[in-house]
Amino acid sequence: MIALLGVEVRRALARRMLLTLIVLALGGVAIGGVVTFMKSHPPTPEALAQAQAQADSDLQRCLAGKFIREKNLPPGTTIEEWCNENISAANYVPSSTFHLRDLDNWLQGVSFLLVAGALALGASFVGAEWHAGTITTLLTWEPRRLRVLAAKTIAIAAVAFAVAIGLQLALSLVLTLVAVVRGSMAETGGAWLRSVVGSGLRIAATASIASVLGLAVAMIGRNVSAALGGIFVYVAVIEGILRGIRPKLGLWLVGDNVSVFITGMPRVFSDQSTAAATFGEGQSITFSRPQVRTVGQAAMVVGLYAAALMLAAAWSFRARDVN
Amino acid sequence: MAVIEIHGLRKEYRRLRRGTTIAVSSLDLEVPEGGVFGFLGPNGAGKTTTIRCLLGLVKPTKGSLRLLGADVSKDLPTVIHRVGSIVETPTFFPRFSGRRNLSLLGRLQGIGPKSVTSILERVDLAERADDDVRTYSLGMKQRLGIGAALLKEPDLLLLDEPANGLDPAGIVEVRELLRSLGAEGRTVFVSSHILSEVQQMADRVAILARGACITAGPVGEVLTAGRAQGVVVRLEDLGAGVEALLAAGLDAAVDGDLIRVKLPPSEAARVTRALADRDLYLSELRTDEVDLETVFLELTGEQTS
Repeated sequence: MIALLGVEVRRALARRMLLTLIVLALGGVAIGGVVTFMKSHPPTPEALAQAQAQADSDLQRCLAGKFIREKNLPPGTTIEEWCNENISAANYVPSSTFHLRDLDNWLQGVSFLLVAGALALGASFVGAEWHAGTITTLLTWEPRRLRVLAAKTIAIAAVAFAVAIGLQLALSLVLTLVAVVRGSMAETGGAWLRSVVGSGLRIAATASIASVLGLAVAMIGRNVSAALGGIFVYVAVIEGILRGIRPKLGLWLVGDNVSVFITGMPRVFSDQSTAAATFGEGQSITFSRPQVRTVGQAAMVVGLYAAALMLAAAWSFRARDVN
Repeated sequence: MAVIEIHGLRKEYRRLRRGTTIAVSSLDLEVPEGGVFGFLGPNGAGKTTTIRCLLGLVKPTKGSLRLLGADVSKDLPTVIHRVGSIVETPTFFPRFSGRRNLSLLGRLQGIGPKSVTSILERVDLAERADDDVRTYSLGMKQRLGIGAALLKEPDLLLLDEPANGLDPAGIVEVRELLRSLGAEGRTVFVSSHILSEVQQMADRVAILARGACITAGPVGEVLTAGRAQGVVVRLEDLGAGVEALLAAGLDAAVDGDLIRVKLPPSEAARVTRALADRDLYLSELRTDEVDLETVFLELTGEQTS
């Protein structure tokens, strides 16, 4: 199994699509870094002092309940936590300054591209083998199909995770340089670092799962285009329709759970179509009970989707002929 | 000991629109250890399906298959390291070099780079070993496929049309290679449509038609099965020759520009004596042999008509 895994990792790393995606991503990182560098201007000491004074003032108003009422707070959050999280001096610094504390948002912003790339990579890893017929050659050397599938899955998941981490590191390094030279390093302490590392790991884990989803669907469809088309139709069209019909279904949809997992923010789901107040006499509409999807639950839902697809792929690969 | 045992093999392909196609209807076959075994049949006879079943790529609808004594459905992994194979056109990663393709396969069985280099030399690909496979000709890919099959130093080779795409020199090389492998004590099971090649290299053959084996055995026996033995005579005056042979009590007839005489080749002296007695002198006397192609066409023609 180790030898097979080693071979599959080598094959995954040598895929032209992987190299192309890495080159494109690094190009994007470089361009993003240059543009940010050009647009960013470090704040003056006066502007920083002014921002701090404004932030202190707004924090007091927030704690006094001027910005949000306690009943509107997210579940399990106190007003102190909410105010401290949302009001900081950096928010009052002129917007032409790049703040490294926003790195989290940058990473989450580009996560869609990483996840989509990983999905395509997973699909092409297996789909190309079916297309070229090399799966036949491989099975004449290792006929235990579940072993072959397991090795491919582990290999592509590991490669997608490592590449996602590497690309996020590259983006972080470039943006750190920009922040040091022409931006702001304010509020980049231990808590920030933990948050960034958490986001990076969650995004890499999502990319890894996406590559497994792509591989599983390509193994079932034995075709790259069918796999990518099928996933796109499901996520973009079918889930979109379901979400439109009943928003609360988002609790169980891939797209919503991936979003909750990547942002690391629990989300409340309720059916807005049935949620409304009483409008005048005789017009009373019942609220649906809102439900919270936590980050852990979202991870489990996404994991269940991946596990279900892998089971289907394993059954398909084991049961069907290789012609 | 039989290295391949197939009993009652049946393979049906069920497709939604096209219904059921029977690729192999009822195949029984035993291939003894050592030598070259030719597996012949017209297109669609079930040769490739049979090889795919033997390699576990395709699941039989019915029947049992044993490879090197192991039940293919359960124990194939225990013997696969002793089996080299080519199924139809060998497939490799087109953007990897020939050497890298073989190295990756070799790693699965713990085969090192020295063996890969040696095999590449053996199949005459050493000079192009580091070029991408996508730049190879069909014949080179075929040779790489043979190299991959030989990489395991297998006891049994299952080769589906190994001469596909090869030029005449390549065909001769492959023939010599397979004969030498058979002579080493390995078993080479080779399906081919180039019957003259099979006749030259195979010790035994089996002929398939419509998914069933219609004859099998040593090449000599298959060629002569159901046929009277005879000799062919060529001389100037065919009419006088036939008359002399008939007068001597031999069963002779003119066939084009020669005379066919039905008698065992060991009794050819009766022919020369009968002709010499009439002062007729032959210019050619040889055993009346049929080739594999004739037998193949006769047998498969009978089956399909």
